Amino acid sequence: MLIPVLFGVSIVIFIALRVIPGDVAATILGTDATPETLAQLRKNFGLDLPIYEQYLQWIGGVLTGDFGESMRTGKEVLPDILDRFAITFELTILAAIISWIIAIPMGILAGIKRNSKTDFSVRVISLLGVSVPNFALATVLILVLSLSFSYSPPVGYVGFWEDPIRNLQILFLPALVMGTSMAGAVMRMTRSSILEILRQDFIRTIRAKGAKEKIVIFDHALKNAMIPILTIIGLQVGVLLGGTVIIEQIFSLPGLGQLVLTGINQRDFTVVQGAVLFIAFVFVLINLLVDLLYSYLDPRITYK
Amino acid sequence: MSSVLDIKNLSIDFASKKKTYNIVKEFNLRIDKRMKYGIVGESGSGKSLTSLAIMNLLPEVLNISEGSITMQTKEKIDLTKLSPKEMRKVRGKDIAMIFQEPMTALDPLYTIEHQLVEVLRIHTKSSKKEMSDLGLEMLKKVGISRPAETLKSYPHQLSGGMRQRVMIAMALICKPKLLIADEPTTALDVTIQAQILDLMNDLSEEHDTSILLITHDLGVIAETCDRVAVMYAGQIVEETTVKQLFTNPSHPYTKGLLESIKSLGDKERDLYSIPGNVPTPFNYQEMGCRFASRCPHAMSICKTEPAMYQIEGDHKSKCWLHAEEVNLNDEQYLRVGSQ
Amino acid sequence: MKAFMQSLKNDKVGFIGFIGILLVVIVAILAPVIAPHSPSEIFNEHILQGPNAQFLFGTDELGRDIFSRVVFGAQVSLQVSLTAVGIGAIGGLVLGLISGYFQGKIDQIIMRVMDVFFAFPDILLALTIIAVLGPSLTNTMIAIGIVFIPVFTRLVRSAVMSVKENEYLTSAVAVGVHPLKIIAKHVTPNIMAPFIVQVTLALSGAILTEAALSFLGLGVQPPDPSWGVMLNASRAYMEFAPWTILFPVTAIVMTILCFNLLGDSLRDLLDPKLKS
Repeated sequence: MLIPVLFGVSIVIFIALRVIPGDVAATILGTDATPETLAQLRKNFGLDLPIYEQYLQWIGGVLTGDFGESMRTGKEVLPDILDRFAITFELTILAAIISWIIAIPMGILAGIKRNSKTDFSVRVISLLGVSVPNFALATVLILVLSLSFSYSPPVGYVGFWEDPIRNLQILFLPALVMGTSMAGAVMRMTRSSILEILRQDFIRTIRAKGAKEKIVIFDHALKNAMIPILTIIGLQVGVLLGGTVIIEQIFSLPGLGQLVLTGINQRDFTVVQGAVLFIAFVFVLINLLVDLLYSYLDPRITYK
Repeated sequence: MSSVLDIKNLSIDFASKKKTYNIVKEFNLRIDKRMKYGIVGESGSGKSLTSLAIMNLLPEVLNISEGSITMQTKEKIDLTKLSPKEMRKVRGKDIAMIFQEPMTALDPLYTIEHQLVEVLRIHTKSSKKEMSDLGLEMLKKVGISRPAETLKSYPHQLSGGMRQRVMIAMALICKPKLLIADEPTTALDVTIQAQILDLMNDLSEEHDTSILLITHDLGVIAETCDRVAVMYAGQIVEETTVKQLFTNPSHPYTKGLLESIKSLGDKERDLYSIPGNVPTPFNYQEMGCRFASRCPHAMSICKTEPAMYQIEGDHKSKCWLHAEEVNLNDEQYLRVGSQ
Repeated sequence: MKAFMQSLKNDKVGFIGFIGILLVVIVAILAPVIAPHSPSEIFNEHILQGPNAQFLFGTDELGRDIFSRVVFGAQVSLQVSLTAVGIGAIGGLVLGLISGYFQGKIDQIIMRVMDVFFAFPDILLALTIIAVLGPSLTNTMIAIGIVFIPVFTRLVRSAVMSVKENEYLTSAVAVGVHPLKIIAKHVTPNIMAPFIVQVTLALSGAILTEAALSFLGLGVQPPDPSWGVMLNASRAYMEFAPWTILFPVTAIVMTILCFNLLGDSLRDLLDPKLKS
């Protein structure tokens, strides 16, 4: 399942990039290039070969861990992807954690106290969360912070292992923006799953046993609600991975999204196809992980 | 004999934003020790709500507006006056409950052992080993063939009958004084039904547990119970021993019910059903006798609500026909709705 | 339909959403009437002016009237979202019908391709398609439309399959009615509810994606007045001229919010499971 999908992704992205009008040679050499120099450069990149041969060469390399070299810088693509992925991944994880911390307790509370004031406020907050795009939130947040604290997004990125505190300082705001954007959807899902589960017969059975509400909610309702919540989390991680394209742009973070964006602008095929394939790989992997978690949580599901 | 449960004058209301509707009215019932008491009625008659009221598990929109539910534990306590915490101590320990749907009444994510032992963990301080052993013993008692294996399995791996056996084991594991069984066999195959009823009977006798059995099926009542209350539209209309009910049914509704069963068994006859429909709680208020609109004996006085009249011994019927002062020649007793 | 409108009216939240969308639609249609200036008209003497009587929402860095640009931006947003959702819904309908009706090999192929598209995060897929087609208004619509195809395909396919499994289909075929006729007759009512809900959600998704792509400079191209474009262009000046981003942001958020409000109540209204 996983492997055919990734092969599909690699073919789609590879062909798509070859269809783009204008190629790397033209972008590098500019408008005054002669046809001869263009052809020479294309040949260097292997762009003169039939497309299927180009693909086979590339995918053969990918399978052995060689993603090729950047057509602009000549640097190897894979180490660059991994470096930048570290940033994107850290950002995604931080954002996910922030959103869970906000969303899951609030969603549970709203579900338990249906139609209360808490429920109402949670529903309003989550609706706003779903309706405010992260780039809008980020822009407004930066504006407000800069007006009231003369804040400006930090320039230059520092890796986690170099200076963890500085690193977290840099990533906190973008992660917060992405986390709160995502929290809305998770909150709604949590609330509606809890509501759904609390209606089930077995909850009545457990209450009839004399169980405290704590047991009813945490041992039974929440565990059962985790399954749909996990689904939305799996999907959201994909949204986050995509969303970093924008957030990295706003906060000038040298992540994978920025790599793709500049790659597209510069027609740097090897970089773009490598990065996109990598992102798809991570996305599919996370969904696989979610599937595995299902079968761990739910005895009715066995993973094939 | 001392009573285990004594419900007096119980009323249950449904409160919407605009108006309050009465759903169950003036419900009286007394269950003695080791008694098997049945409540029979069509769906919507309020019989299940009454059982949930005893457990204090009514849905939020419903509440007990009047009456008392007295339970004899160590002392006499009124369940309607208990705090949530005190009520939790009663649930599962003094009163246990079995529900209709064995397919959905168990949490799909936990093993049978966990759910069986959960009751013990809530109410006793036994060690893990003791609880587990007791669970195994209970599964043996309810006739599960491979108890040790079943203990480790999940609900979806068991058949409906097996699950209902597990539910019974779960209900009786704390040796409750009262077992409420709400349509315990309705969702099961006919062949399994009798087995489950027998099992419930035997075990409750062994544990000295009284039973309150709620069903729409008079056959189940005949097989299991000593006393029976017939419910119609939120009220008890007839209350007597099971024997009396079948030999000398008095209320026109009970007669109608029995008639429809008899016609089922008799191929020579057309299927009999009581004409008309069950009224909804929204128009209870204006009615006198709630059965009058479907009653073959309806009279003008039926626009006024009848009381519970004693027929003989402790056989009671809520029908003007059994009022002592009735003179059937009087004008107000003219039959209006004869069929 | 009448009963439907009635119940929508009773649901205050959904009704607010509905009115809000109606308002955006009216503003978009009447943009030339409502807007006092052309969205691209430059007032050299009035660069980065705050809101005032002449320029209701102030002016941007080139001296263009922000109010007029926000009004015309509604046009762009609706145009993009309607077209994109149209492409996605029709594409999904065709593929889903084929997939669900014929099943077997064709179904396998279509669904595997959809899986591949699902493996791309939405924005990334849209970005890639834009990169191929080149950034422009039309290509933004196409790119977003393609992103929506898989969702609609799955929706239609599962509805068709569930109808196919029904016994009345077998019996109708036995009587000699063409199966496609039956599918058309029975799939439509079965699918209407989830389809409408999905369309509403997709519309808000499309507005969001358009704004995001334009924000990145890969969607609608300046000087076309897209809210996303306005947001991006004004970021450099926002500290001195907050109004330059405040109004487009409000427009984006309000519009998406209204679609979500309506989508939510439609879901509650049309989902028979939640009715009781």
